[in-house]
Amino acid sequence: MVARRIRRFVGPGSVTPWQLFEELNRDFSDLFISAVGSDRLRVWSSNDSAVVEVDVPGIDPAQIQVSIQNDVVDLSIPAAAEDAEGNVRHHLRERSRSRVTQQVRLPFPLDAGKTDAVYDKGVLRLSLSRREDSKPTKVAVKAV
Amino acid sequence: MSQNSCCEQAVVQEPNVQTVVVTPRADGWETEDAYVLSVEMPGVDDAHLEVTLEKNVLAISGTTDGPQFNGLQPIAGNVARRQYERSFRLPEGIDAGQLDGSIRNGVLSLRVPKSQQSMRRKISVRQA
Repeated sequence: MVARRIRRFVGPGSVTPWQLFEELNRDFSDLFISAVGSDRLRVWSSNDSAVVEVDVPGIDPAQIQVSIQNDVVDLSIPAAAEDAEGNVRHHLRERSRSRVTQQVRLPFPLDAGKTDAVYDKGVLRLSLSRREDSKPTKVAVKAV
Repeated sequence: MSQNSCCEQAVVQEPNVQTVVVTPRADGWETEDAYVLSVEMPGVDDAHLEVTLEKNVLAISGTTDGPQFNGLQPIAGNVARRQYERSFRLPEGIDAGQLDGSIRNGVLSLRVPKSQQSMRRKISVRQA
């Protein structure tokens, strides 16, 4: 998908760099939403940092697993505990009762050592930092 | 119990703040002596929660904090304040004065006891 976009940029009938950026941005957005669903996952980003929020109400935070490799955040979220105990008659069953695995791919490699994960009011919030060696460096242009 | 559809969304525009109205997912069940509801409202605490019971209609409303951008740009998902709204019609024969509820980790738990008259009672049969 990315290679096809680049060929369009450099070949006949090429697109402008801005059009290419917008198409790549849409592709990245499509990669984010999987098991959790777009209504439960939110992502913010700047050039150097990102925040990922996932709605996971009623979960034991000690059971949530978060791992980071390069530009990918892997989440493993256990099923919510069953509240109804004993001899009950169910009238409504909408809450999810299955384990969820979610991958979020960000536009830059991440520094796992600078990740902060907080579970508050049923929302998992990850504060992420870009890896230092992946940050762009300014190049001075000398006048001849 | 009867209820409106799950997970419908509507967008309300306010100056500089977008609020999304969300119908929260819920479980409801009946025990021998009570009706119990478990409603998912992630991001809501008791300070931003309202529960009312009028004529057997239980109305729930809860609001999250506004999104904290801190200079970041939203790039995925619906980054807005969420307003959870849902109502449930409970059966007759409840003791409304004994409604009990709490919210923890984004899950609202509500318990409404059945009235004494509506609870199932065993009838002893005598030998004639």
